[in-house]
Amino acid sequence: MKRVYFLLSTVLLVSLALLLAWVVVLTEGQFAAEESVEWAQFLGRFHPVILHLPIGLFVGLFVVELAALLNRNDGLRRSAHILVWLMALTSVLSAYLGLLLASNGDYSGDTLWLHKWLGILFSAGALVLAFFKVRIVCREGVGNGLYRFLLVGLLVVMTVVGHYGGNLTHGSGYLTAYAPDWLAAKLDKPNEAVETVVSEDGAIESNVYTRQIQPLLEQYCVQCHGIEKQKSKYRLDTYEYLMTPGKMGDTPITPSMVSESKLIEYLWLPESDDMAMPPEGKPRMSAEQIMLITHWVANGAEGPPVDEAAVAAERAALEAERTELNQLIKNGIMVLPVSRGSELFYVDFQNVKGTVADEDFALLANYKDRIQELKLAGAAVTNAQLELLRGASELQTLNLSGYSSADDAVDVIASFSALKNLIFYGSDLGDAGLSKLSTLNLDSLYLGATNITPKQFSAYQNSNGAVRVFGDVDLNAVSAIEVIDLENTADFNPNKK
Amino acid sequence: MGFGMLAATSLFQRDLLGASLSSPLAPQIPHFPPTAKSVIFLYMDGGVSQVDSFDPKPQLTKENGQAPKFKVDATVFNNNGNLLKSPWEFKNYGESGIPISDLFPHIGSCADDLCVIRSMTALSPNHPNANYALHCGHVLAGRPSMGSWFSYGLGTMNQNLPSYVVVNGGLMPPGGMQTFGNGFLPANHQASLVAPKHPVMNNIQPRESLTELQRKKLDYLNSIDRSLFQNFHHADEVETAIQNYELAYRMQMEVPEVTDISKETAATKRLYGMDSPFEQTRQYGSQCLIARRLVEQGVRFVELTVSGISGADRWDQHGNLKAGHEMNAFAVDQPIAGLIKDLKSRGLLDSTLLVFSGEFGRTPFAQGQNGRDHNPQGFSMWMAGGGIKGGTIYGATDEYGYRAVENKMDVHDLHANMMHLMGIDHKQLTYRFSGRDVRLTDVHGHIIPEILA
Ligand code: HEC
Repeated sequence: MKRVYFLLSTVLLVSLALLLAWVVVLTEGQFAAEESVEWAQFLGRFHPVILHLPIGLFVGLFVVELAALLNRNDGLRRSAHILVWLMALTSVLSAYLGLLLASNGDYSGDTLWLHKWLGILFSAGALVLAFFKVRIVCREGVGNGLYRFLLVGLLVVMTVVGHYGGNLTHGSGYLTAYAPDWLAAKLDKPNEAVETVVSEDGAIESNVYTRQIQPLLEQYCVQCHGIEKQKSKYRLDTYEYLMTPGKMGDTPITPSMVSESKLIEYLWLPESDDMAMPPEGKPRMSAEQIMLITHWVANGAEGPPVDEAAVAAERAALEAERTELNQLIKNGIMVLPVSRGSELFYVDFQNVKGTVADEDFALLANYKDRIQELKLAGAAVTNAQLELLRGASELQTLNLSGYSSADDAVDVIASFSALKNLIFYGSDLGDAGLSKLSTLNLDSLYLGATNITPKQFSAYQNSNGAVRVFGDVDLNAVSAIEVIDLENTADFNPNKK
Repeated sequence: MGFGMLAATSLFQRDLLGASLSSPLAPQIPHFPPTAKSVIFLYMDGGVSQVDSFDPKPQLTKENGQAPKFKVDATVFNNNGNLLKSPWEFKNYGESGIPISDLFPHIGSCADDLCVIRSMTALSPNHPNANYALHCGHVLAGRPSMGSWFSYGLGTMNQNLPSYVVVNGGLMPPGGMQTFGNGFLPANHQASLVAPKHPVMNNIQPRESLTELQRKKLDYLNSIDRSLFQNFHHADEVETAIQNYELAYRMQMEVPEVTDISKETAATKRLYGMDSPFEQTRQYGSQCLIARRLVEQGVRFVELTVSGISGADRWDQHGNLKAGHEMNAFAVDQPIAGLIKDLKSRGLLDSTLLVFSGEFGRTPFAQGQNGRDHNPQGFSMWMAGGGIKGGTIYGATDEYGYRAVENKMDVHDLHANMMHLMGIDHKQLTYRFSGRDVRLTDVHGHIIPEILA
């Protein structure tokens, strides 16, 4: 009888062990490659449900064996026999499920690796333990010492596995997050206070990301989007990860564009929504905290500074730039970023009436490679001044309406390699200047009210087919329409009015 | 220089918060690169009939005089007759072949620059409410007008001129000045009305013979206001008043010059129809010309209202459609086409957004014998210039031109797209009022890629 039992048990335990090895191979290879084996994902989620069984059973087994040892009680020993079986079976089951869960890709990193392999080790150990127990039962106490040694060893392994498992689910530091200060100090985990740094004029300090945003993400999001878990294959533990799209494919943050930033939307969603972040049941951010992140995105979602010295230098440079540009603006030369966060400028001499001081133009010339659009119209800029902008590399649109001695300006203009739109309307441009413009790769050229004759105009047009050339409005065509108009509306005769 | 106080306190930053001058009308940095820098809103007061202008309906011609076969909703006057075909022929214009009626042969010659929207709808069938909606995005009075929103969101390039100017043809739109009001936005953003004739504004000529004398008076006024400002704990109203005095002072120098169209060449004046035999055409021509000059000077938003010359009436032809629409079309057709062509020739059309719209359309069936009642369910408008895809038609009404059935659009969509072209994210430009961050587009508005270049 005992022989048969021993043999059957051994066969069962060995096949469970082989099955475990097979699942390990399976999940390491095929599942990991193919992303969604749905039933595997489905079953995997039962891992956190099942895993508490072997833990409880193991603790029970340990206590029962201890009591049996002290009491030399046969009844206790028999219950230990049942417990060891239950424990071994549930622990391999839990390992199978754990492997399936791990294969869906939401988790990775060192913690997972440790949890996984220690978990496998534990399950394998549990099978060996069961084998020893069966042997003891069948052969009257042979190998008791080895059994007890293994029992203690597995207790240690289980504790460690459990710890890493907890870290995976709740994030490391979960247990100590609310530790009293004296304990936290001992554990070397100071409670980091999140401070709000908005300077007096409402400007956000340069280091917002590190000082304010990252701590919030750390507190509310990183447990699921960090080194341990990557829900939706998306991480939030560094700025680079934050800006790297997850499973959904689009970067969840578009700097300066709150309405284009899904992450912000998720934060504001009601808890009941499927996409609310953090998901239902997890601690939520306060409206102020969400506002802070929203504000940060609206203002360009700037990342952490590279280093303090560089930041300081950049600030100083910005400060100097501001002072210089201020000087220009004060004197009527509007120098404005093309759009939020842009390095390029739209420069407009709108408010300058008459001549421009040479110093001002020289100052502007410092920024020549950042001017995208320049509207000189109205100001009496000279060719000597324009010369200072020679080679401006980003200039796309140049409005020289009413410019005088335009022919001599063409030489400089030809050095603006990015130029697309060139407006000479009302200037004194003549054929001498026009003929030198062919080197530019223009989209549109405005030649109305210049000294260009119709003949020269069409000659240019013929040899520069790709350029849209605009000349004077054809008044004859207007007159022709006027005649038609009077016919169309014969009943209403404006001549009578 | 005329910059006055602005310079003293100007603060410019190119960092997270973007650049700003400490003047209420200082240029603001757009959310994204704009395709247009200014708007000219050609407001067709009263409501142009779509089936007589930009939305030809052969079915209507076929069934002329028959009772409508479709369900007719109650209209304002509810004196609805049979289907009424358009008294005007349509022609296909330009390479795009956009059909435009004989009312607008001049505008027709610019067809390839137009994006005609045939599926516009209004939020109300009544003039004042539809008007508030068109201007302010809400049917009730008291909201900021779109010009004020643009001023608030983008400021203006020329610090000697207001950011939002209405060149007033003389006919105040139904709804009155609230149509151009700043609502809850700071008062600096309300429209300034100028007339297309001398004097363009009251008090535009300084009373003081000596500039220094006026400056001294102003400085004194300023110092009194400043102390009031302190006592009132920096009340916005006082700040606004101070800024307004300063702007008015600067305007006294600049406005007469900008609005003086006498220096324009004869050819330009002719282009705008200023030699027209018809007084209204001449006046609208000067309005369009002033609009161009304002935009040239960096004014952000210009609106033109229709003529108040005696004998003129808005596009509101409840009767006598033929005579009334012909008169109105004759007054605006050539000047508007002139404006488009002039802007184009000066290289400014690419940076100026033109919007032509009434507050609603008109019914395809008759009111009485020969009129048309208000129709908010579907009508035509067009846009041209900066960032608009020219030569396109967007949306459609049913076969009678009664209801918008395809790609329906409303004022919120219009506003959202106008803002988009000007570099503003309509969802981001808000003003906190009554406990809410309020937008021009409220909770609506869709960007329509099909109409954007
Ligand atoms: C309890 C775990 C959990 C927490 C905590 C959590 N998330 Fe998520 N997150 C998820 C899950 C699960 C998904 C996938 C949801 C889906 O696809 O339905 C997800 C998806 C996302 C996505 C979409 C990623 C992609 O693929 O583009 C973003 C963005 C996101 N979360 C942001 C956050 C932010 C910000 C926080 C902190 C405020 C946060 N999450 C906190 C579980 C979490």
